[in-house]
Amino acid sequence: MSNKLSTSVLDPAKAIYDQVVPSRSPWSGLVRKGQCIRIVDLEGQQAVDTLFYCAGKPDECYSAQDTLAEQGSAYVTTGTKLLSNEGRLMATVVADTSGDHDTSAGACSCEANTVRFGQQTRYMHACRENFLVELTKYAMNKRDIVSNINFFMNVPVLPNGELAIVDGMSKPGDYVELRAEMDVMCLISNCPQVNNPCNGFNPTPIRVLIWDAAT
Amino acid sequence: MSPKEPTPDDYRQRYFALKSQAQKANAACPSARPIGNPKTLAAEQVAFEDVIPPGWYWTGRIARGQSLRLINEQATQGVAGLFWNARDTSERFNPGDTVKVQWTARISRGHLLLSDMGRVIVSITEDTCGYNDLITNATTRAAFTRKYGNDVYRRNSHENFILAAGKHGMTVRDVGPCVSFFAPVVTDDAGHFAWKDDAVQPGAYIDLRAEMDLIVALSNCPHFLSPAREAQPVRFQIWKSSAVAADDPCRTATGEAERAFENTDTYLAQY
Repeated sequence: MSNKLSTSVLDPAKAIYDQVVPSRSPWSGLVRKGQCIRIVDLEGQQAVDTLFYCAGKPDECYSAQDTLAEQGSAYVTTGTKLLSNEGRLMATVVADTSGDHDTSAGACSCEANTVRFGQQTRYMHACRENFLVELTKYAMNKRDIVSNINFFMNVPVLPNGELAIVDGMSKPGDYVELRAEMDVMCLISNCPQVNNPCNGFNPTPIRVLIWDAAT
Repeated sequence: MSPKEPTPDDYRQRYFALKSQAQKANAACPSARPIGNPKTLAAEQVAFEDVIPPGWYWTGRIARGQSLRLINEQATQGVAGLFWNARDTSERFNPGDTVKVQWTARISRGHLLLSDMGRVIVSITEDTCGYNDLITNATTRAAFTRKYGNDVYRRNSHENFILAAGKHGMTVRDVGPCVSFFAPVVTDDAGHFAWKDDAVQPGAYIDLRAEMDLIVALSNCPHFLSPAREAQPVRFQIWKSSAVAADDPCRTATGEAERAFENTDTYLAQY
């Protein structure tokens, strides 16, 4: 683990946007270049599946593989530069009170759930259901879903290759904050998964705040 | 009376039971899953073969039951690949599901490549190198410019994949994250990546058996984390294997593999 924990000085009272996203629900919004977006894990151990797209140019999207290769390490934390599929800087993580966020294990889906946990899990809500419904608002579709960041999801990648979701490290009120380096559309699924530990087996609400650059 | 809803503790117990089973299976893999593919393919077995020059790509179709053998004669440091369902290209290779479902990032012989729809698209029936990277790889012109300086003639996998996808009527939006074969990216305890030198030896090969009709794109550019600045030519053969049998080691290796194949069977039966 390679936590680089840090806090933010931004004052929630000065945020231009402040919204609680209910458990199991999607959210999306525009974050302009220079603005900061904070995602707060209100009750702890809540995975927040997140993607970024270049605003107005949906074929440029976050690339987990590019981000990790250029960073040279496996987790997202303070200082991580989120790169696009064109290798351009989309956003920088500027504060992180929890540490080591996953970006390798992707988002849950009804279909993958059947493989992992059995056919009886097919009709359980999943992140890619949230993503697909939310993307439709932007005339985008399933093709636009790529490997995402899982904020507050703990997936150690061990030297022997072992990779598994384990208990989350985030405590109530932990947050991650990113500064947009281009105008981005941020897409979130507040993860509904109960078949693995990513939400402490109990999905809970999150809070999203946005600040202007000059704040 | 309706059956009792599982409690969070029920879910927790099932999850960690599955994790424990998977780790035992992976500890035994790949040696426990030999398929017995011929080391050298007879000429009549090979439907098509070619050599991808350094920096170039190849794209084509592979029918269900056929296999693609990548032969790394000159130990090139990474060959990137993408796979789409030929019937519906919105279904494609998904590295996140592939590593998560199989509980390992060390995907090699006996493992599967999964689509985003919970189905098997490829079984890895042989892999003499044993290192394929599904977690990283920077493939863009911008990345290589940062690494090596500006070189307008340096080819990159991102543009190769746009070209390959384009020739099937697809666009950059169909170019998802890739798999890199012959790419020994290892992770230390702190999560830092390293390139395992000497893990890619000349003559290493990998067999990828198509589990549905596929469109494939291969890009022969060095992996971003490798020390190699230039690629070497890489040979591939499309050969006539046979469709997966009920007792195939890739299919029966784990409960996850069996369920992924069941999903594939259900889907193929709809056609």
